[in-house]
Amino acid sequence: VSESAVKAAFLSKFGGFVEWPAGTLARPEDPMVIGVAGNDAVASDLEQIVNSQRAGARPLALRRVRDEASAAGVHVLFIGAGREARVRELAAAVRGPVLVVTEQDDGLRLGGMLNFVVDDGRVRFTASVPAAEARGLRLSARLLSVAQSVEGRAR
Amino acid sequence: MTGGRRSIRSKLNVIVAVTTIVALGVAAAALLLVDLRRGLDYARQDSVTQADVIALASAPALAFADRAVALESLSVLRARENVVAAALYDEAGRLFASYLREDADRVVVPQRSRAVGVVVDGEHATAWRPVLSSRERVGTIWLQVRHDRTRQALEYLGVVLLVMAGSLGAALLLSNRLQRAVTGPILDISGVARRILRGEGGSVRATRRSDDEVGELVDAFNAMLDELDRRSAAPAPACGTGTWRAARCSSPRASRRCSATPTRNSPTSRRRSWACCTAKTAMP
Repeated sequence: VSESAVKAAFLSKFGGFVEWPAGTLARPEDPMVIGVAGNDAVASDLEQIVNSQRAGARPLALRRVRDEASAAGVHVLFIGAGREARVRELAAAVRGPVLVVTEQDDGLRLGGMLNFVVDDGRVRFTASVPAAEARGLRLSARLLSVAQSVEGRAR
Repeated sequence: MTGGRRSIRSKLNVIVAVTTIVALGVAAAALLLVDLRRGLDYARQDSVTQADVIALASAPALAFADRAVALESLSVLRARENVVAAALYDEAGRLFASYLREDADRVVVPQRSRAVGVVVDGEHATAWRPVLSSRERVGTIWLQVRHDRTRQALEYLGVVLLVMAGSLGAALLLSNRLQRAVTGPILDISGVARRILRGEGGSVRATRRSDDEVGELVDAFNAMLDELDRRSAAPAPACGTGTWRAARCSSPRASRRCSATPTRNSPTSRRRSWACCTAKTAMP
């Protein structure tokens, strides 16, 4: 299984472990929009997952994000590895309760709430509770239990 | 006479024994069945509940393929002694993490997941349950619970047998004491009959001590004696208290004369005189 496929699978599942603020994804049939920027491999793997969705669960939708404008309305935004300034810019550009996921060193510092890391050949992720709370999101304790490390958990 | 008494006693004992065994047997069988059924239902429910609890805890571990966390959530089962084994399977049905109790032998963890369901056999309840993460299936859990219902049923059966033996003994003991209340009045009647046979006077009567069938028997018996007395008070019947009559009665010729007494030559009087003569003859 390729790294991009694992990341795509994780991205499709993160949303279920986040407590969204009232009014966002209120009805179970509201699709969860996952935006992917700067990583075409993950985007195409995620596309496969979106196309093979099973009925019953919340529907997923994929949006390939090219610029700040096309990022509007996504619930999960994955920003592929790139220049720090670009990542920071894109993370700051999306407004409201958006789960920002990055995949580079210092990803959490650049505005990510979850950040992919590769640990011993295995894809894992780190999490930042304060970054998520700044956007009105609560990362569930069950999600944090499988995170490699968690920032700002003490409280 | 003693033969008759033994017969009534043994009949009563048989009645008591059969009643006790049948009543206890039916009650015990019913209780055992209800208990067994309830126990198996509980085992089924228990295996599903435990599997669902672990499934809930290990959903993130399966969703994000974290084997260490999966093993950790399975190890919670250490606190549940009746859980023999459990295993988690990923979305594709491959074995992902498993837990085996140290003392679990002969348990084989399936390598591939199977359809959701519960199977209860003589020793174990085995559950296959889906692992869901926000309504999406991320894997499968398999969990085996030992329920011990067969052993409990056998123990129960042993207790029932002991109780049956105890009750039977107590019932027979009690019955032997209580049945004197039944046989006593009957023995009284036969005692009175024997005294009359010995010629101890017509005023001897059995005493009515109970208001039941035996009491009625006493009444009928006494009424019969009264009637006999009334008839023997009438003239001519040959037998009485005098010794010469006894002598007459005791010879075969006298017997014949006795029964041939012409005064009241009806069948009843003949029978009465014959009874009287027999009684005399029977005297030692």
